[in-house]
Amino acid sequence: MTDVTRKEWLLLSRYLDGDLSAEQVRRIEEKLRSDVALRQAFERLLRTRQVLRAVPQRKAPRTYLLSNVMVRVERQRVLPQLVWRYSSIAAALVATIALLLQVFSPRASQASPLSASAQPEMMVLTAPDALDAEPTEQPLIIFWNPGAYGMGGGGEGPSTSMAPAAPLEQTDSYGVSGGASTTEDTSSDQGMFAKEAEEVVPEMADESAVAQEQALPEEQALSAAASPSSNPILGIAPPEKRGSLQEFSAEENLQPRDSVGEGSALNFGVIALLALFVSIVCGLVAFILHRKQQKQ
Amino acid sequence: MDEQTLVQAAQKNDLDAFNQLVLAHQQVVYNVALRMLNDLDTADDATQQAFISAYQKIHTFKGGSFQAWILRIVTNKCYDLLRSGQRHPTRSIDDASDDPDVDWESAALMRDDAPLPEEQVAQKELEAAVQHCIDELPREFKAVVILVDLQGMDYQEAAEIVRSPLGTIKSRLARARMNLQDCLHKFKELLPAQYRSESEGSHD
Repeated sequence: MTDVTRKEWLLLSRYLDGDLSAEQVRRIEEKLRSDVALRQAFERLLRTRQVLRAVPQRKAPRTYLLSNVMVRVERQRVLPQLVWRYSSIAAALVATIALLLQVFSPRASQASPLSASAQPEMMVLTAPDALDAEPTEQPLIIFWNPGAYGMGGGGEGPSTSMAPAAPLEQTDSYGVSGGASTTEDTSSDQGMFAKEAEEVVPEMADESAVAQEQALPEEQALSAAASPSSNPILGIAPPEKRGSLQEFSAEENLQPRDSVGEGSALNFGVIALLALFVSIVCGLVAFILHRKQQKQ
Repeated sequence: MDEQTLVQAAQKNDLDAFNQLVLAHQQVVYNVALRMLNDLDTADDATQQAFISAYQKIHTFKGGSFQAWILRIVTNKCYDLLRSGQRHPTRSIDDASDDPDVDWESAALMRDDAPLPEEQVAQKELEAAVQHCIDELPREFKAVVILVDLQGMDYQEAAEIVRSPLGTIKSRLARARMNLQDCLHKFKELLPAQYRSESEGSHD
């Protein structure tokens, strides 16, 4: 627009509709008399409005009277869509609440030692500086005796490198070396493992040799199990310590554990995920129904 | 019965009372839908749906202008249809002139002083040109110009229908008129003589 500004055009439009105050009318009429460009713009605007107002009204092709059947059918048509829509909203609310509980629950907010120790390999690979860090927590050691439950499991990862025999003797531990790495991992083991990991990654060929070396003391321990006095076989405690192990297990069972808290936090997370999934599915169904109805 | 009484009766599930409101407003509702959508069948559907929705939501009507309320419903319906692209461009207003099902003698123009055939042709051309230009407007501008310039409502009614501030309505209308003037200039030769002038041209 070169001759008339947008502001002037707006004023002309309002002037045409009689929306200006008396003072504004006086000023714009004065300007219209003196400004040719503005007058021409006003004439064009006036003509445009005349054209628009000259467009005839169409007669409706039929009457739109409602019948009871139409209203009822429409209600039935809309009902399933509403049910899905509100279900989706409800599920989304549940997901949000569960997520908030998951995030702000005091137990859930505590760092889980299990999860922290479960990923030593990742810690080493991602944060080499952390290798020299002092261990701050006592490792969780599982004692096993004939009266206790289970013997550990197959564990994960390279068991031979995760639980070398040396700490087994030094710490007087009776855990099964092939057990879960998450429970037998000691701080010293982490350090050792970390250092080893740096070597293992580029030198995969040496891995089997290292494993054999570490397996050797374990075999010694196994053979020593034949002696009833030392009795270090596969985590079996010597007779004098078996009673204390039983008490320890009983106390452990009575006290609340972090893993319980983690279980409930995990439940909230699962609930949130499930509710989110339900919400998405319901929303999708409601959307499809809505589109279908629009197409009809 | 006056409109307020009919509304109150309709709010008590009196369908007959509501149908009287339908008869009173169906013309303007249909025309707004038709100009917004430029499709005879979709405008017909939108109008019917608007009245059904209005009946189902009549208990939420808190007074004021019933026409503004029902026009808000149909405008929103049209917005939804435009947004989802669910128009069926099989029978636009332009095409309807060639449709044997449309009775132009009685249905095309509702005015009592029906124009002569040559005037009818001129009006159809004008209508087609205006509809083409309206279709090119942004959606928000479209509603305002239809309500104010085609339906003759004032700013306040338009603001109530599209739920926008008065200043926004004035601004949108001015800009819509500017766009329409540019667009209609392309159809200058088709417009009836009284809408043409030698000085007419683009404003910029």
